[in-house]
Amino acid sequence: MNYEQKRDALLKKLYNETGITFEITENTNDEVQTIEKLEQLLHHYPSDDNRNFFFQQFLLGQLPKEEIVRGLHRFHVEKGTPVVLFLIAFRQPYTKDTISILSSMSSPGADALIKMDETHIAVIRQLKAVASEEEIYEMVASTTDMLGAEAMISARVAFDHTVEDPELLPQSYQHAYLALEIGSLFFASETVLSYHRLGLEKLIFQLPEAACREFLSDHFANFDFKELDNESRSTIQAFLDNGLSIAETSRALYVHRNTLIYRIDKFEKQTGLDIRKFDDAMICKIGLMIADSMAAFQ
Amino acid sequence: MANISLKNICKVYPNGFEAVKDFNLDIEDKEFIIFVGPSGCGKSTTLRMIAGLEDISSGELTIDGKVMNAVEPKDRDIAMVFQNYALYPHMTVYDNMAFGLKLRKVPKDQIDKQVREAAKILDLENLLERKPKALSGGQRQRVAMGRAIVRNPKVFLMDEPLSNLDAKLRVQMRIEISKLHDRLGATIIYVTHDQTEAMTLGTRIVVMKDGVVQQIDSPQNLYAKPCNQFVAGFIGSPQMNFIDATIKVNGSNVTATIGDKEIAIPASKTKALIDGGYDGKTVVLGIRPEDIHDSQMFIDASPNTVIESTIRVYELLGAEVFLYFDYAGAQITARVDPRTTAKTGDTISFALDMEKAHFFNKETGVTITN
Repeated sequence: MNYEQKRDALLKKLYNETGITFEITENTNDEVQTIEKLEQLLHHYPSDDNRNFFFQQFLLGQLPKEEIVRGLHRFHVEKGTPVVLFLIAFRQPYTKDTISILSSMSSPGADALIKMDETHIAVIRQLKAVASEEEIYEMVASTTDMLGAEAMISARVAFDHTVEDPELLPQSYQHAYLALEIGSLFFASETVLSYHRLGLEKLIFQLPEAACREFLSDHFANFDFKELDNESRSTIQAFLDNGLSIAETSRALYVHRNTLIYRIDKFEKQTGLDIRKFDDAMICKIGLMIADSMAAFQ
Repeated sequence: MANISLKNICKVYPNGFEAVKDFNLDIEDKEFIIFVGPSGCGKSTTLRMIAGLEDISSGELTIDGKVMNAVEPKDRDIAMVFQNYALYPHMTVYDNMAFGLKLRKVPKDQIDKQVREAAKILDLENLLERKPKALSGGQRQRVAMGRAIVRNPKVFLMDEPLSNLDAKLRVQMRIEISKLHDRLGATIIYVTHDQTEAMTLGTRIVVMKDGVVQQIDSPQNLYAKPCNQFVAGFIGSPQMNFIDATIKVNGSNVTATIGDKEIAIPASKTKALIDGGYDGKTVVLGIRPEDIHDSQMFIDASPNTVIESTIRVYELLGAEVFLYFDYAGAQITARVDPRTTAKTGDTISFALDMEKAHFFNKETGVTITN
């Protein structure tokens, strides 16, 4: 192979690995030195790191459009292919074992594992068809369960819905990140969080603290949710979850309907809210959520 | 050997929610312990605290006398089986079972020995070269179990491992797990929301609600002697019937008025009601569906416990019939012989087997007498 052939092959390889087009300037006349420099450059841009760097910057919204298009094409994420992103948050920094487990769980080339920081990994999974929320939930839940079963690794995962335009993945990442943050306030015991299941939680998370305090002092001036015992709390929660139905709630809680009515009456005496009425139930639900989020922030 | 002790274990989340409250339990070596309760009762959180996947807010966890609170999950010698078991799609059954050991840098020959032993226990020997897609649901679940077994841990923790299986396979796997416990002689802690699973598998059952242990007992005792109305209602399917009843004490004779009917209470149950000062008070009478009879023989034998109602729904299940009716403001279910002639719309008499009745304090739900 002559100098030109060798030089061009290295330049092509460099482009494939880094996505950057290198040019040999006119005043470079030492052929041996040029080849050495190109080989050094290749050596210092290992493809895995490079791939990770591209996806990381892409998800964080730090790349210009043309680089995104070029990078997605280079890393074989084609437009029109359904993709889903889920973001895994580890309780402790992840290890090589974590990566091994995650890599082994997917088809070769179907997943991109992106190390966002030492406790977060984003997974971009290419799918054969658009997946429903339930299907994604199952996929994600099996990931956390696998990490737990295989290496006793504790993780929480948040996900967004499937997108067919991979350029929308930065938005999916933001959604998943937000779901993890909101989830830690409202669903602390859940290990799998769907961004699209967040309703009032998202709204309350975005409310300014002053507005939250005002709401509590307007409606719960003489009552502190911290005083609510576990039984009363779970009763109220179950009643709200069961569409304010006495029959459904008493069945769900395995209590007699009169016991349930007694507890609802007790809460009414404490707060002045009759949660059998929709408006009062809404005030109670919002109050409870605000109190939870404020306690978690503190 | 694995004796596990949980002392005053609590889990409080940052928002102040107490998911588990003052949990105390001593688990003997080789026990099959079940944590059961409705969704959100704290059973999985407790299991995850034992595994080390959740921090313990307060209290002490020991395994074989060694405090585990600060020990890394991977160093606790525990294996876990979860609900959403997944297998590595491109690995054979053998490699799926061996993967965890490879991560732990176990020597190759030892991995081979342990995988083959586990495969033998689980009857997977002929499937070791197969890929997951060539396995049935039950076989996949067995491979997931195999991954835990190969590690030969002190304790197995199982978090609703059968919840994703269909009803038929669940029954089959329940039997498999029970056999597995006998073969392995290991300590197993098993979480489920399904009381049938709990009753059939456990040597002892921990019933939880709202993060609080309600009762720890054998399946038989939980069924026959529930400590409160919640346990009574949760254990047993269809669930126990509850009717408000007013107690009347007349010397040593005690009766319970339900609706317009005064029912005689047997002597074995009167003392607790008299001593508890329940004369003139309303309590909750609990009676299981199988203790309500429509046969003439029962009705003739206990005329003081007979009530009358119109059947709302008749449900034939083959070996038994469920009759649904309303009485004294409560919806009642009776489990009767399939040879019954009763049909929907019939007004018939039922005799309550008051020897089997339970009485609960209406305000606290605590059992007065079983």
